[in-house]
Parts: sequence; C-alpha cells; structure tokens
Amino acid sequence: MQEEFDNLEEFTREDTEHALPLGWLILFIGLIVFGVYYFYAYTPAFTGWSQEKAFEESMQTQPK
Amino acid sequence: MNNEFHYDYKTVQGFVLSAIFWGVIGLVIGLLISAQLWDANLNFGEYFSYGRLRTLHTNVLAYGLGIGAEFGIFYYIVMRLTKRPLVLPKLARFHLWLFNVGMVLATLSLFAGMNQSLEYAEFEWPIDIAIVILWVLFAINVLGNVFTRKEKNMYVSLWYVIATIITVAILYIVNNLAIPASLTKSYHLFAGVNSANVEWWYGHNAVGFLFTTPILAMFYYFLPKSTGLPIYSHRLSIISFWSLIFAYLWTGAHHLVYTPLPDWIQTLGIAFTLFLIAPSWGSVVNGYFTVDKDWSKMRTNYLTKFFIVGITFYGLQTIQGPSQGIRVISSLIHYTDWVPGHVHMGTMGWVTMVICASVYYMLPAMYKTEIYSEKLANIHFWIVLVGQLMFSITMWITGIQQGAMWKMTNADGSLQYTFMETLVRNYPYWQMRTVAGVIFVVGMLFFVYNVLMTIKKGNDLAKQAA
Repeated sequence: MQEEFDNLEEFTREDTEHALPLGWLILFIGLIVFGVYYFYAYTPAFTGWSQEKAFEESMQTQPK
Repeated sequence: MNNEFHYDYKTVQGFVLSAIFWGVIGLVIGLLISAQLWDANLNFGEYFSYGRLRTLHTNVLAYGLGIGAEFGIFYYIVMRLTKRPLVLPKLARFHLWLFNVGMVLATLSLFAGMNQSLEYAEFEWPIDIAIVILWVLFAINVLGNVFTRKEKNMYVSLWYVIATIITVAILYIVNNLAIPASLTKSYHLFAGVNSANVEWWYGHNAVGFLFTTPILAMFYYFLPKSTGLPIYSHRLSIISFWSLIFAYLWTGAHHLVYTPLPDWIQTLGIAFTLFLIAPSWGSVVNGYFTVDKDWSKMRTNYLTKFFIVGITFYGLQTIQGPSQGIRVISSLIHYTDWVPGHVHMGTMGWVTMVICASVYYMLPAMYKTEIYSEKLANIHFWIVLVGQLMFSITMWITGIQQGAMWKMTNADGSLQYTFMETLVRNYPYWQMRTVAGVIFVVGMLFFVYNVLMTIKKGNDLAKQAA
C-alpha cells in the first residue's frame, strides 16, 4: 500500500501568509522594553537596589 | 501525491505502547503518594515510602510516559515531514528496546534509593550514561532524516523537534557532570550556589524542552492534520519558535528567588521569564486563529477540543508561571502546594491532553482503520478535564493559605502559626486532591482501553486482508 504525502508546508500557502497580529506584536515589544527596564532597576550595580536592603526596609515599615 | 514506499511504523507503535505502560505505573504511584500525604499509614516499608515513590512518580511519568511518547510521535512526525522512512530503522528498533530496559533499571535504582538529590536529575551516573547513549541514537535517526529530507521546506514542527534534541543533550550532560564515588553514588561537579544554579537552569529547561517544545511540535502538526485547516501564520509560528528557545535558557534562576544566588542573576532570570509570555502566546494565538476559520470543528471533529483546550491551559500556564517568578508573588507561594498545582495544570491539562490527542490521530492512520470509539474519547476528555481542574484549584487554594499562614506574625513579631498548624490545614485539600487524581486516572483508563481496542481492530483488519 502506498502512503500519502502530508504537504503541510504548502497547505494552501496564501492562507497562511498573515501579518503578525498587532496586539501580539505590542505584547512582544512591550515585554522586551519592560525586561530591559526591570533588569536595570533591580540590579545592585546599576541602582543600588538589593534584596537585603529591600528586606530591611520592609521590616522597619511593619506595623508594630 | 503518493509515495513509492511505506513507512515503518512498528517502532512508533512500540513507543506508544511503552509510554502507556509506564504512564499507568506512574499514575498509580501518583495516587498512592497523594494519599500518603494525609495518611502516613500508607507508607509500606522503605521501598514504598513517600521519599522514594515521589521521585519515582515524577521520573516515570516525565521519562517513561512523556519522553516515551515523544520518541514515538517524533519518529512519526519526522518521517511524514521529511517525506522519507527513517535512515536507520533497525537502530530505531534498538532504541525502543534500550529505552524499556533502561526504564526498568532506572525505576529499580530509584526504588533502591540511589539518588543524586538533584530534582528531575535523580538518576545516578551509570544510568545517566545510558540515557546519553539513548539520546544519541535518537538524534542520529532524526537528524539523519532532516539532512536527507525529500521536502525542502522545513515545517515549524521540525524546528521544535531539532531544538528539543539539541537542548536536552546540552542540559542533561552539563547538569549530570558528577564525580563518581562508587557505582551507585556520585557527587555533583558544582558545589553550593553554583550547584543550585546549574540544577535549576537544567530543571526549568527540562520543563521547557520536555514539556513545551515537543508538545508544540505535536500541536503544530496534528492540529492542522485533524481539522484540515492550515496554520494561521507560518511567520508567527517561526518568530514564536526562535524567541521561545532564545529566552528559555536564561530563566532558571527564577526558581532561586530569595536565596544566596546573586541578586542580578535572579533579576535577569525574572526579566527573561516575563518575556516568555510573548512567544508562548504567539503559539496560543496561532492555534486560536487557525480554528477561528471554522469553529464548528470543535463539534464536528472530536480531536479539535483536545488541542484547543490543551493550548488554552498552555496559555494559562505561561501567565501563571512567569507571575510566580516575580519576587513578591514568589515570597508568598514558593515552597507551598501552589507549585505542584501549577505543574499539574501543565502536565495534566496541556502535555497529556495533546499527547493523547496525537495518539488518537496517529493510531487510525498507522493501522489503516477508524478509532475504536469517538464516544469513549469524548468521555475521556471530559473526565480528565474535571480531574485536572479540581487538582489545580484545590492546590491553589491551599497553597495561598499555607503561604499566608507562614507569613502571619503577632504584634511582638513572633510567628502566629507553627509549621504543624499550617500542615494540618492542608489535609482536607490533600484529600480532595486524591479524589481529583482518581477522577483523572479513570479518564486515562478510558484512553488506554480505546487505544488497545483500536490496535486490536487494526490488527484484525490486517489479518483479514492477508
């Protein structure tokens, strides 16, 4: 018995040529920008923030 | 267009049956350990104690069911997409046998308590070497087919298969570098914080490259095949692929938030983890828009709902997971039962959902028959869905409760609850989780029965034809 080919790649090619959905593209670029900011803001060498310091501060502001 | 040869499906069929065999063992052990958590009398001696069986549960399901099914389904997809039989079919058959022999030895070694104490990398070094050999055999066949393919274009599923093969090899070898002390005991090459960092780089990417990329390979192949609808956008699928595999390897440190790991490594891990939402949702959106052409497929084709519900849980997982990585959320739910809740939504709602649907599609194609019963497949779908949701939700509730109780302090700063008090409050949820597990396993038994009956039907037809 012979086998049929799949031809998924060619599967009505023009049907699969959609541009990237705009909402998704905004999410994609937004997360890259946010990632750069986040890495800058929470790296001790850049901003002086550190987990240790953040913890000390949270202990001082705890309600007595 | 027809082809002049036939594909050798025997190895694929062998892997499917092996995966089911190991899957049933792993699920039954899962039920037992879930009950052991609320009744210590269910620990039977050292071999059937929680400490050993928990490891056995994760390994047998991840490597026996998960990888077993992936080996078989990958061979199938690769043959179809490269339009040629496997380059070395006898090597693939040997791979199948070695896989099962290796699984028996690996299972026994965990029963015996041989353990590297690295999560998801528990096997001791002789078994690690066997696994590397196994993986190389697999890689030779798959990459051999890709290099000698008869179809120039590479569909996105092939990219996911290749990424899985390469990345798992790197992860597995690096994290399992150890200095043997004897045949059954070794010490991790890395020490202290370095050991933890390498372990979670591996651990997180085991999730990425055993439970994400292989399942996406199946999703992108079997969704268009089952529905007859072309994938919405090839471009989106390829951009999602490259950004996913690029970002994944940086994220492991989110497992080590609030540990002695340097702050900047944690921050970098969290930033990449949040970014992962985008490539993950690229595949989710692509799946939805594919079926958007004709939503009636959800009713008329029984497999469509497996894939769409599966990719929905993938989407939920890839929002939940990155959220858990954020420091403030991690400090509440890390080390609580939320975490197994999260894992099981992925494994029960996404991984097994898509694997089962792929098997439902492949079996009739390979045995030249119809599925034994669509009705039973539908029953399977609804039962596992209920079981999985109940499992995830009970664990979320008790996880948040646990985390909140651990954090509560009295006016003088002392802890409001002892550890035992928080533990006892878990019991009703753990009991409900066992019920959820039983429901899920019953659903899976419908699947197993349907698979075996379909194979029987196919074999009977072949006999009649002969």
